[in-house]
Amino acid sequence: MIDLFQYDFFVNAFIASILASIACGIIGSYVVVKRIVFISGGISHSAYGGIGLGYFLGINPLFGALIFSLSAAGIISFLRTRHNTNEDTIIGMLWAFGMSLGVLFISFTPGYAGDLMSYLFGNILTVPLQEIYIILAIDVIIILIVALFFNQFLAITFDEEYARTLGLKVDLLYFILFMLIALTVIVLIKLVGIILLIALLTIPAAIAKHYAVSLKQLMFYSVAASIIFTISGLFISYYLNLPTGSSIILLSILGYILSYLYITFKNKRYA
Amino acid sequence: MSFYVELNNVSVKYGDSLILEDINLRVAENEFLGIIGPNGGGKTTLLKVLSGLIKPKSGSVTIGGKKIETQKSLVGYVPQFTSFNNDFPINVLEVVKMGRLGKMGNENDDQILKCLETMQILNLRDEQIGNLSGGQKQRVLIARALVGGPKILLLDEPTASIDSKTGKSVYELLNKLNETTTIILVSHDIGAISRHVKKIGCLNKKLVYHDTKEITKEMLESTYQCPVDLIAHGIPHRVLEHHHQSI
Ligand SMILES: Nc1ncnc2c1ncn2[C@@H]1O[C@H](COP(=O)(O)OP(=O)(O)OP(=O)(O)O)[C@@H](O)[C@H]1O
Ligand SMILES: [Mg+2]
Repeated sequence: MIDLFQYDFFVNAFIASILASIACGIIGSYVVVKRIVFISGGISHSAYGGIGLGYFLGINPLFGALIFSLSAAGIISFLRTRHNTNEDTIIGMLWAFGMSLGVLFISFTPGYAGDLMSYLFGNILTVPLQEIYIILAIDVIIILIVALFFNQFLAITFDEEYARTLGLKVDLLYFILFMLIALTVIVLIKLVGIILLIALLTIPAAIAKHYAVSLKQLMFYSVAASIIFTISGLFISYYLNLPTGSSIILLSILGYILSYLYITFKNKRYA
Repeated sequence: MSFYVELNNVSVKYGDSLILEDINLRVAENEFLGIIGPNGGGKTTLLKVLSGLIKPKSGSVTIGGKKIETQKSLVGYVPQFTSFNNDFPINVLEVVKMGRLGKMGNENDDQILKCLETMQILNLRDEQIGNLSGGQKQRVLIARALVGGPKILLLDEPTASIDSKTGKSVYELLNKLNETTTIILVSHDIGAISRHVKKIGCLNKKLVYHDTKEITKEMLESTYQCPVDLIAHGIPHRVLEHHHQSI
């Protein structure tokens, strides 16, 4: 096992998994407590349009994905301020719009879009050093902003209406939070891919919620759970020669089921 | 600085239906105004207008002559129903502390604890919010509004699910706070209202409001549009005034 760390690609994958888990655990906690899984799904899937655009223009697809997910986050936070009753439908459209556009761009692109699958389902073993720096930078941004606005984010996610009576800039805070979700999406694309990332964003936090008694605790537990799943997924996929993204997600789901059974069993015994 | 609350020609619509019609109201500093009215009469809507949650379709809402949007930090709001997620990982103390966000002044933690004690939830401070009973939650909502040290306190049926002992202490506390705080209270408990408030308004789309705490038969009839003696226990005139004097 120690031998594995002689390979640069494995060291990179190891570091990327840990760094991505930090963003994933922190932002996933907000997604789970505020129940904005669908919104996050819209933001992440629309990123596929950017991947396609990246291929088409011959630039780094992750850059295209960043533009698309940030735009989707912006549009969704604007929709929320309009109190549009069709918000769900429009997010669904945005979701499909991004995916369709991605497919279209790729069909326009001559040649074979080789590692397209890795954007859809992830391939952490191919993460270059440069992308590790990007993930690190996003982690720093997320940690700084969350530390700065921790109480404000707590207020808007716990009780939005009351936060408004306090005079907090609720819409602006949501805009920032959605932007952070968009950044987290970029971090997770290489790890598990666009299709699976919503699971990695939410499952560790959903497990942590079984045990946490405060938002801070929830974040720490989520980060820890995310690290456990991504790292063990990494080893399993390497030794058994399985796709990393699917391994990580299947492990997370297994973890959730076990935790759920444990909690249910424990509550029954002491009830 | 003055903190009188003023509504001029305020109308509120939900979709096509008019919920509040041409409300004019001036509440002086350290006033204690009770508002009664039938279900759906618009009481909650009026408090939401006063807390800046709802923008009226027309008319102006000001505190001390300044627009409500800029004066939110002066207002403490106790909602009728909790609007939060019950399985959020947060304890009572954290919820109450939230009431200080964005407020001026820096009360220390001692004052927060004192506030918890007054609401008799000090022993619950580490409890998860979702594990509380309805009445306990309502006490948390009141404590949360109080810790911000509001100049204007808006309460929407604050004692609806609170037991009578705590309910009594809530009203006693409100009367004490009223020395330095303007209070606007919505309640169906006309008895309690008449015992504690200084002035009363009846709201059913329109506001019927006199500068006394006396409720007249006409006020009630025009507001509730039902036989008054249902409310006044068969003694039609001035029953509440009478009630008051008997205490
Ligand atoms: N979000 C909303 N959308 C549409 N109509 C609403 C909304 N909120 C309230 N209404 C309507 O506005 C009217 C007034 O409601 P409001 O909640 O202010 O009444 P209330 O006097 O507080 O009643 P209660 O005594 O039951 O608390 C009702 O007819 C209600 O149907
Ligand atoms: Mg109401």
